[in-house]
Amino acid sequence: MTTENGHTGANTQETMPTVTQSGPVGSGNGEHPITSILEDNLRYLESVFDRSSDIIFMHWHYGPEMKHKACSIYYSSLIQDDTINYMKITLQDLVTHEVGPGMEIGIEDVRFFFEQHGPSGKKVQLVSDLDAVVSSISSGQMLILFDEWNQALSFKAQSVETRQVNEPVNESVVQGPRESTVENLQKNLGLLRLRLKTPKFKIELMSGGGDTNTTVAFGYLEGKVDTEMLAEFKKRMELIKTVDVLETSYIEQLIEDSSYSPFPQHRYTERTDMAVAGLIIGKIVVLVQGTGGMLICPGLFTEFFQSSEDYYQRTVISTMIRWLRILAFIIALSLPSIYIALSTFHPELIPTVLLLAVLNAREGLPLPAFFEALLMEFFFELMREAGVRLPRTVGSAVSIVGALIIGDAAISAGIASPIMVIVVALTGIASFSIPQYGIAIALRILRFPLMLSAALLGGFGMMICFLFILLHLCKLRSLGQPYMAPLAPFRLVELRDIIMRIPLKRLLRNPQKMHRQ
Amino acid sequence: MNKQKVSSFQMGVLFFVFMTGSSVIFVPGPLIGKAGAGAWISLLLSGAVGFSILMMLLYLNRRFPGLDYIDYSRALIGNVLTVFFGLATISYLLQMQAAIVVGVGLFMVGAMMRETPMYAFTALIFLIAACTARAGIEVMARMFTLIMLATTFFIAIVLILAIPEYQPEQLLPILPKGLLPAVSGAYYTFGFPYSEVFLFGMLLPFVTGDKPGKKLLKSMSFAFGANLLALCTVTVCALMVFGPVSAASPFILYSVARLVEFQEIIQRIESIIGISLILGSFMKATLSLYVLSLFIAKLCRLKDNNTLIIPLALTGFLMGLVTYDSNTQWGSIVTGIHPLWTGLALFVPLLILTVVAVARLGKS
Repeated sequence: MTTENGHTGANTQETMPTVTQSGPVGSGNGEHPITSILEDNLRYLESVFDRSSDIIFMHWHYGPEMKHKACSIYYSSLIQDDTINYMKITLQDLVTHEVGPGMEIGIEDVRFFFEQHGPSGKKVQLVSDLDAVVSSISSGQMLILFDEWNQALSFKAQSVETRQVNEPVNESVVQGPRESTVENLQKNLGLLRLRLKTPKFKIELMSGGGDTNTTVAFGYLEGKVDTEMLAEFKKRMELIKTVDVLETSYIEQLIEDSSYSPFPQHRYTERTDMAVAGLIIGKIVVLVQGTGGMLICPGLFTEFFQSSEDYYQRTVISTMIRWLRILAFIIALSLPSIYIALSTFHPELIPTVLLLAVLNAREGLPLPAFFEALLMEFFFELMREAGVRLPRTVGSAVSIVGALIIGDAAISAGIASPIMVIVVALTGIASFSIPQYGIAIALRILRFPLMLSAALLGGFGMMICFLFILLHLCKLRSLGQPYMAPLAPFRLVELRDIIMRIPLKRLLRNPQKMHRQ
Repeated sequence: MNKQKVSSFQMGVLFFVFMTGSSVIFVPGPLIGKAGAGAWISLLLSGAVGFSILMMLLYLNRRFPGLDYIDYSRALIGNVLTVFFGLATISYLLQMQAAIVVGVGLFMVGAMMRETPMYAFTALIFLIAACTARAGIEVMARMFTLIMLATTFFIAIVLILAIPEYQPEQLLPILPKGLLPAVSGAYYTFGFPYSEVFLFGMLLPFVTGDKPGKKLLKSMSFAFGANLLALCTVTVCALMVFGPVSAASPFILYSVARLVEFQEIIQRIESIIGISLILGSFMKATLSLYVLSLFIAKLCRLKDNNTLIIPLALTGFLMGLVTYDSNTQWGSIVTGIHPLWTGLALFVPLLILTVVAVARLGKS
């Protein structure tokens, strides 16, 4: 589970104070060139890496009579044990196969060997600057410095355990691929490349700033992506060059248009098929080393109601499920406030029989409908939060207690009506049935101002509140795209994949494009 | 001042919601009161005048591409006359936005929440209208398309569910008292909504795209036709339900919705008419607030109209508080005074401009 990131982060934090004079680590700006005297180089490196208990300086000798000196430097926490001696063995082979046994081998031979062909099996880079040496060691390379040679060998020997490709946890489907990203960037990029076999799929790498120096990759499909949008995206991505990036959501928040909006402006996925589907319609996908979350930019409002499974199931079923989700959205957003508005201000709108049932249930309750709803929603939110944060073993205890409090005890104690319990439960279930978590939590927040306005001015207050939400949504842009497209601006043709899902036969014949307006 | 742009389709939508939004609920009741079964003839009469206003605006827009009403007014009749007419226009626009919002307040107090003071409603409508107007015409165009779909759906549902109540024989005789009642109704509907077409003189330059003139002509005419059709349909439906005598209640569509009952499940759906009314009036109030701010900013040569919106909304709110005394007084203002006022403040200046523009064209 530990990632490369985690380690370098921890280590460089310890060592950074000593290299303040050397400028940004890894820039390799030539301020500290490697000298031909091994001791000088080591003295500098030791000062940089002091107080790190897991840095290893391994001194060794090679050549006949062991008269040439060399030193391997690496973080023991990052390097595979069996690769430590790999270079020594290579040099041993060099002596045996290239120069001849028992012959004199000097630094000239070593240099010739590595500059001209290098060993088979491992990729070796030559480094000529001590700052570059420091940054490669920090990022998990093994460095070998030779006496009498002003270059160092750097080779990849990193071995930190990464998770195997697994089933996606947060976006499960009944049908379709069960492949999710892991914490390793290269693996994730490979998974995407496997699904998108075209050179038009471009992947650009960037390096984050701060002490983590996290590698950030973003990919797009040339010819599909809007160039203006891509330029805007790249401009915003400049921000990450100066900050620590630990997770994809950092990037989401760094490049989003409106930070105070409750609505997510980029989509988050761990399914490779979702990411590729996004790439195909011209989205940009962002991946970060050390985390499995992929960001699909820009995320539009309607896309949060789509799941990859919509395209794997039959048209009629998918369309019906889409409608169900829209209904769930409305319920999750407004059911408690509708209840408040109806029972407080507009009882005449409830059919008489139902009204009698409601009044019967509310008889003798000490709280007005608003506070009753607020209390129950509060219970529910509390339970939900506890359920998410608790260790799994304790989780069931919470659900038992919660079910008792919300379901039964609140009614028996006379502080809530059974109808209110139904309302809260239905709201909760509805918010769980929205495929994207990001938009479901936005609803959680918006529910409360709606309830308040319903309590103050009934249906009229709710409408004003809805208009404010709609205004906000129509104003919002994500990477320059109108957030509500294609609902607002209204484009009838594109609704074929929004309020319904037309047969793939027709959908794929003219795939949808992204517009700007 | 404006870098925002909308497509001609969106402009058509804005035009439709502006003309239809609140009038579809407010107009038919009083109109039937004046014109009886000939109400739809009144609509056609005043609609013809409204259409001529639209054509004048489109003609001027084509003559002066990219310029708004104030711009070409300055070019045609000079600064002094523009300011003179402009002040008259502003006086009506101020009154108009107050009147729209007071209409919502009256409806809410009268039909839904009798105990709540009216300013609670008007203040909130002005607040959301001001916020929306500040967001600019692009956002309005996007937002109002969605709202239009919702309100159209609601009204269509009510009209369809009310089919069992229709008695077509109530449509006849059309003109039992001669043409005069129909003309009186046309006078009323000229003031509200058809003379208000004028406001789009400030908005038409926002339309961009290749060959905007032709597309614009098409979409605006279509929107106008749709508006006329919607008003006539609602009027005729209301006549078929209540007949020419008893249909003169202020919110006729609301009363139609009250009657709807289907299988004891769908009943009391008048609230969706209430929703449509609030939404329609909100859209109309927003557009007039926006046009008013543009108008004043242009007339005073200000760089930015956004700063004016909130003060203007506040002015409208206060005007709504002080000018309204009672339902009947308000009704007589809207039906009696507004048509004359708009005729003088909106229609006459535009007519003069058009005549001058045509005359100049002939001279050169």
